[in-house]
Amino acid sequence: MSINKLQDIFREVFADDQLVLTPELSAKDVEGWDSFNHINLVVAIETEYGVQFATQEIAALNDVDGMVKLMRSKNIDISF
Amino acid sequence: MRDALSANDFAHLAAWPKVQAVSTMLKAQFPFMSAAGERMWTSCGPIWACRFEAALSALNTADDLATAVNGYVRFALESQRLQHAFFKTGDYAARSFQQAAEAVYMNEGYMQRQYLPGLLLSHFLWRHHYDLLCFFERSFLTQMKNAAGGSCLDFIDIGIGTGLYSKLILTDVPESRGLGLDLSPTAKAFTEHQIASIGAGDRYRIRLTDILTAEDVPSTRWLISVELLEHLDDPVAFLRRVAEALAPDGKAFLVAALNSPHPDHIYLYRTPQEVRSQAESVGLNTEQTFSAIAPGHRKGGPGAPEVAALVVSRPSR
Repeated sequence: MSINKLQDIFREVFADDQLVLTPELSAKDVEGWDSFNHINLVVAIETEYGVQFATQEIAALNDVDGMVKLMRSKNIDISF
Repeated sequence: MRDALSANDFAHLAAWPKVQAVSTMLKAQFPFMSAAGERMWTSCGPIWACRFEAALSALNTADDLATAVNGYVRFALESQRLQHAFFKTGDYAARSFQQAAEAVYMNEGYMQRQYLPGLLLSHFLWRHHYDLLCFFERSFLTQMKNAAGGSCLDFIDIGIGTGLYSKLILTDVPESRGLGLDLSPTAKAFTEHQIASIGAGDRYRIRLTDILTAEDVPSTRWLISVELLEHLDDPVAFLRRVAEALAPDGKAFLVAALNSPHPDHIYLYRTPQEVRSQAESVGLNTEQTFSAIAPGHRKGGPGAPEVAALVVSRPSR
């Protein structure tokens, strides 16, 4: 499954239709990626993919690559 | 893409090495959490850094600080996740005090590694918690300092938590002696460590007890209870005990969290007026009030997290 659905989630959470996901993309690169929107992002992913992440798992998320790896660990088929 | 983070990113915090270390760790390991500290420095400057550094006095090693940072991140994320759910339901999850005690106060690992370090750091990374601290200093601590005037001054802290507020009194009022009351053995140990770090252990004792049933609570002219009310099944019963413990003309500093779901928050306060009404219903006079909304939320927004503080007094007969 492609990254497009995840990219759509990012674009909605951060209100940026031009946002393009790369593995290296992190909070340093995205305006508004603070703790509040981090949770918004996580909850949106959980809702869309029907999974649940532990607090420690989401605390350790630093970039999109980490997020994709975490999603794959929950048996979500996703790749760049 | 930025180059690797270095301490130079926080060179402006060099005079406060522990604050600098916390800021560096947050930025390096949890970049989405680091904006809060940066905003605090921008808006509150060196006095914020001084206060924050003093609050970290008991954290003396890199491991201590790393544990605190990790605990804060988990504490903050858990809070945000629960807030997200609260915005949809408009209510706290149904829970009794006993259930909250088992899940939180008696859970040593959770208290030690997440709850207490998280709460401690939140007083300096969450603007509304920091503003509350400043209100305490100018509205209540100043009165205590003026009243002391070289004489011994006793106070009681009910629900000591991290010990931060007791520590502030012991630091700023050298004549003070405190009695801390709390249920949690971990909060007791954490607070004892905090108090020992300022060399005030001989002026402070802690009793493990449930204030609603405790006997032999001494009468006092100065009482504080910070963010305990929302942890109780019956806050009015607690406020009645506060009124009983206060000597005539005694004063209390009371704080409640509003619209702030946490695993140990049971009583949902929606407005500061609710807290004031309860305090006045047991005969306490309101002298000063304060409230602050968590950053990023609007007053009147759907259940915006908020703190409400009162300085109350017991009328003299």
